[in-house]
Amino acid sequence: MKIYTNENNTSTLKLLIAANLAGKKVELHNASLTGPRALPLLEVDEQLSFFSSNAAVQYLFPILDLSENGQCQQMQEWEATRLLPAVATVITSKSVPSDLKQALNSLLQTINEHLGKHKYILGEKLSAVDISVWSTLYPLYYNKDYNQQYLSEFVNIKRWVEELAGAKAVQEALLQWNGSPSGPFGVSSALGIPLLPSFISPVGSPQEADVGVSAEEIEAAKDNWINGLSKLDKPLIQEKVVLPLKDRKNVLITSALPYVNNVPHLGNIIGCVLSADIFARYCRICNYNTLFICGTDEYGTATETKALEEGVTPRQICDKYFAIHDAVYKWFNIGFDYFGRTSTEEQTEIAQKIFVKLMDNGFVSKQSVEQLLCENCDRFLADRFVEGICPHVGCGYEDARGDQCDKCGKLINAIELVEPRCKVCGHRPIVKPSEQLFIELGQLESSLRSWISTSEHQWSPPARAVTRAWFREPLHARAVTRDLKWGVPVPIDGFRNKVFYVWFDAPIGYVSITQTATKAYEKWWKKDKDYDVKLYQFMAKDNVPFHAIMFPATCLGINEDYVLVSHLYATEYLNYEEGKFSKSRGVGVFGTDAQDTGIPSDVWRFYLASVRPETSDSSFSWAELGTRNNSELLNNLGNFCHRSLSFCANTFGGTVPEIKPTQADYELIALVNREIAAYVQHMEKGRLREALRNVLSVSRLGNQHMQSEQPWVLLKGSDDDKERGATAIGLCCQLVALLATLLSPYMPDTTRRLQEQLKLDPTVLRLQPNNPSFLQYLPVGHTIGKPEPLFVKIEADLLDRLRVKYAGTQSERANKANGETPILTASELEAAIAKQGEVVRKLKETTKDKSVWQPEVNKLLELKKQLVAVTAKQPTNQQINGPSDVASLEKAIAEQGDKVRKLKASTKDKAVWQPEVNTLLDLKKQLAALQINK
Amino acid sequence: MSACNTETIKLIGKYLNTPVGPVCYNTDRVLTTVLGKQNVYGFASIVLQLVSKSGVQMSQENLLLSYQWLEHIAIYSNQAVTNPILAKNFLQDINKALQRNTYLTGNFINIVDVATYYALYPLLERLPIYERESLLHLFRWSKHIQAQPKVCSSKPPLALNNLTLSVLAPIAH
Repeated sequence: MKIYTNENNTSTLKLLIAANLAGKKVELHNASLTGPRALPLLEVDEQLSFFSSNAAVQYLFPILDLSENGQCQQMQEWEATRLLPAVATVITSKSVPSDLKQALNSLLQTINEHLGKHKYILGEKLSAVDISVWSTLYPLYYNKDYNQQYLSEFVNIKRWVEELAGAKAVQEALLQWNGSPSGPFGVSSALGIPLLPSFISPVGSPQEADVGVSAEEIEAAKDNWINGLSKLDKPLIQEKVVLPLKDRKNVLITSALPYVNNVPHLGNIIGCVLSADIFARYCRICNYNTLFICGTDEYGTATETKALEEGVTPRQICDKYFAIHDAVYKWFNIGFDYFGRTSTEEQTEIAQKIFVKLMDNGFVSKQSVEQLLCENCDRFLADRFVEGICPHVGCGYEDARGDQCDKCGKLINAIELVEPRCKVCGHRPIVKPSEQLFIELGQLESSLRSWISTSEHQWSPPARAVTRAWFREPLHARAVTRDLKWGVPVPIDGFRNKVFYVWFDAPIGYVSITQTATKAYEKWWKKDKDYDVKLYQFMAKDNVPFHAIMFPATCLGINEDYVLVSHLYATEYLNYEEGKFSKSRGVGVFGTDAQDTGIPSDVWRFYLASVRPETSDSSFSWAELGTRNNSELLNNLGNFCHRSLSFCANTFGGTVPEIKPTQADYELIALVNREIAAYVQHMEKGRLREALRNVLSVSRLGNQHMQSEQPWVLLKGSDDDKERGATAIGLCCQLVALLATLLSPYMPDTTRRLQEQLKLDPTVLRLQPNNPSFLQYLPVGHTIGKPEPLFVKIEADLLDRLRVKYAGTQSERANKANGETPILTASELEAAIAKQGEVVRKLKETTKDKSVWQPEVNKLLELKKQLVAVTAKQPTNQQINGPSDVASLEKAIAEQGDKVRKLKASTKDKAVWQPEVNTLLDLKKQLAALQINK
Repeated sequence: MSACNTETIKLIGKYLNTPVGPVCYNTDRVLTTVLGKQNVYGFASIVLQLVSKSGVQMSQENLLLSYQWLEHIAIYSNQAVTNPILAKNFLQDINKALQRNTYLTGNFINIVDVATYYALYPLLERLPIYERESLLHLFRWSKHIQAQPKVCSSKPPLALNNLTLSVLAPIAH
C-alpha cells in the first residue's frame, strides 16, 4: 500500500499510526496538491484508494465498530467536520478570533468529557477515533504555547495523549512522519481548510472577486446616477435637544463610560468612544435621528483611594480627571451630543428609583457578610482601606493590604489580617457582620436568556463569546451594596449609610446622562408605540457582562419596558507594540501623548480604526502607523483627491466639466456602488474596520480610472477625445465628493477641508442607506475652490524617536527625563523587588503570553542581582555555617519559600526548582531541630 | 439555502422508505435526529444510519467508501453554496472522480450517489449552460441518478438538454 502525502500533514500521521498499530506495511511517497486534490491519499491497489484520512484509518485499523450503532463513524465525522477545521485554522492563522477560540474550547471539552468516563474516546478499547483525534491534536498538545492556551485545563486529554504517545507503534509512526509540532503544516485539501458549520454565513454572500458587473447593476447605477440625488431624504434639521422622532430611524448610541481616575490610552479610545463616534457620524450622514452620549464613571473605591492618595476629596479628583478626559476627547474630535458624568443628582434619583422598583418586584435579598468596622471613623472598611500583618505562614509582612499581600502575593480575606488597622486613622477595626443587599440574578436568568437569544445575532463576535461564557454556569445573586461613602446612597432603611456597587449604577449612568442632556430620558429609554428607538452600545469586551447581563437583568426585573440593547458592539483588546497597554502601570501611548506627537488627530483616528480589534486582538505599532499614513492616506487617497481637483482647477478653471458617461463609465460606477453597498453593510453591523477598507477601495478605483483614461493625453486629442477627457475629470471630481462623504465618519477634519476645497455644503454629502449608490454630488457647472494637499508624509526617524520616547512605563519615562539612575540601598531594592514581583504576578495572572511578561521578569531578575551585589558588600555572620538562630532561620525559610514559589510560577520544569525545594526542606528541618532542642 | 439540510435528509429517507425521525439543527448548526432512541449527529452519520435501518447490507469496504464521500459532502457542500469559487473547484473534483467510475463508489449505484445528488442539486441547478459544459461527467452521472423514478418523483429532474448548447453555438456543417 502506498501513502501519498505533503510535508507535516497531521492527517498523514493518522494513517501511519493506524498502519503501525495494525502491523501493515506502507510506503510513503511525496506529493503535492497539484496532483491529487486531497492529501494524504491511501492507495491500496489500482482499484481502491481513499482520499479521506478517516476512512483510510478505519480501513487500516479495522477494529469493528464497538458500539454497533455507527458511533465510530459519527465521531470520525465530528472530527473531520468540526475538530480538524477548528484546529487547522488555529494553528495556521496569526491571530485567532474569539468565537473560534470558544468553539475550539467546547470541542476539546467534549473530548475531555468522553475521556473522563472511559479510558479511550469510545470506551475501554482503542479505536480509529482515538488515532484520528490524537493526530489532529498533536500540534496543539506538543506546541508549548498552544498547549498552555487551549489544553491546560483538560487533564483527561493530557493523560490520554501521554499514554498513546508512549505506545511503540505511535513512536515509530512519528519517526516515519518526520514532522514537527511547530509547523508550518501541510494542508489536507486543495479546497482549503473547511469552515466550521456554525461559521458559514447563512445568507448566500458570494465573494465576487472577479465577477464582472451585471446588466442589472449597470441599469441601477445609471438610474441612481441620474436621479439619485433628488431621491435622497430631506436632511434632518438638527435640533438643539435631540428627541426621538416619528417615522424616522432613531438611534441611541452609547460608549462605555471611561473610569475617571486615569488618563485614557489609545486602546480605551478605539475600544469605546472612537468606535461609537465613527458610528454616530455614519448615522448622521445616513440621516438617522441620532443621539450619542457618554460620560465619566466616577463612583467607587478606586476614586476614593486615589483621593486619599492625593489628599483631596473624591469630588475634586473627579473634577480634575473629568477635565482631562473631556480635553482628550475634544482633541480626538469625538462628537458627543453630550458628555456628562455619573456623580449627578439625576444619577442618584434614577438609580434609587430603579432599585426601589426592583426591590418591590422581589428581586432583592438580604445577606449578612462579615466585615471590618472602624469604630473611630464609624464605617465599614473596604478591602483596600485596611492594612495589617499578612496571615500566611512564613510571610508575616507588616503592611499587607486587605485584598492581597504585596510581599507573598497571596489573596487575603480582609478579616483574617493579623492586627488589622484602618488605613485612614490607624485604629484597630473590629469584625462585625454587615447586612448587604443582593440582586437575585438567578431568578431573572430565564427571561434574560430568552431576550438574549432573540437579540445576540446582531452583536459583535466578542460580545457573543463573552456572554455565552457567562451562561455556561447558572447566574448567582450579586452584592449590590457596599460600605462606602462615595456613591449613590441606598434609599432603604437600615442601609442608608451604604452606597450602590459601581456595577449596578454605572450602566444607569447612560440613562441619567440622557436625562441631563435632554430632560426627557424616558422618551429615549422607554419603549413607545409611536416611535422606534434602537440602542447601540460600544465597549471593549471586559465591559460586556455589565451590558449584556447585569443591566438588562435589572431592566427586565423592574419590568418598565426599558429599551434593551439591540446592537452590542464589543471589541477585543489593542496591544502596544506586542505588549499590553496598561493604565495602572503606564505602558503605552495615552490620549495626552498622542497630542504631543504632532501627528494630526485625523491620522490617529484613521490608524486606530484600521487596526480596530474587531474579531481578535490587534497591535498598535509605530511603524505601521507610518506605513498606513504614507501608503494609504498619502499615496492612495490624498494623491487621488489632490490630483483630480488640481486637474479640474488647472485645466477647466475650477468648473467641473460636463460628464457624458459611456457604458465603460457606468461599469466603473457600478463597481463603486458595490463598494458603497459593502460599506453600508459593514457599518450597520459595526464592522468599522472593514468599512474603512471599502473607502480605500473607492479611491483605488478612482486612481485606476485616472491611470487608464489618461485625461492629460485625451485633452490634447480630437474633439471626441477631449469630451472623454473632460468626462474622466468630471467623474473623478464626483468621486472625490463621494470620498468626502464616506470618509467623514473616520476623518472629520479632513472631510471639512475637502468640503472647503470642493465648495460643497456638508448637508449635501449624504448617503441613502437603503439604496446605497454613487450620486452626482456636484451639480453641473459647479465651481470648486483651491485644491491643497490633505496629508503629509511621516518620516521614519520621527517614528523611531517616538518609539523610543514612549517605550517602558510612564514612571520610567519620568526618570529618564530627570536623567538619573538612582542608586538604591538594600531596603529600597527589597521594596522595589516586592513591587516588581507584584507586577509580574499580576501580569502572569492576566495573560499567558510570555512575550508580555518576560520583560518584566527580566527587570525583576536584574533587581535581584543588584540586591545580591549590595548585600554581598555588607558583612554577614551567617554566610559560612548557615543561619543558626530561630529568627534568622525563619527569615531564611520565608525567603527561600518565596524563591521556590516564584520559580514554580515561572516554570514547570521540575529540574529547575527541585534543588531550591530541597534547600527549603533542609532549612525547615534545621528549624524543627532547634525548636525541639529548646 | 444549504446543501446538506433537513430537506436533503428527508428526501433520502423517502428514497430508502425509512422514517428519518425529528431532523433539526443543534446549537452548533449540525444536523441532528433521533433514530431508534439514539441521538445521531452529522450528515454522514445520519445517512449511514438510515441505510442500516432500511436493511441494506454493505461490505466493510463499501461502507468506508460511502463514508468517505458522505464526509466530503458534509465538509464542503454547505460552504460551496455560499462561495461560488469554492463551488467551482468542489464540483470539478467530483467531476474528476466520476471520470473513471460510473458511480462514486465504483460501477454500481449506491445510496451515496442519491444522497450526493440531493445535496448537490442546489449547486447544479444554478449553473449556467457554459459552466455545465466543463462538468461533463458530473452531469452524465446526474442524468443516471435522476432517471430513477424514485428520485425524479421527489425532485424535478435537472434540465440537461444537450441540444441547448448547440442552439447557442451551432456546429459548422
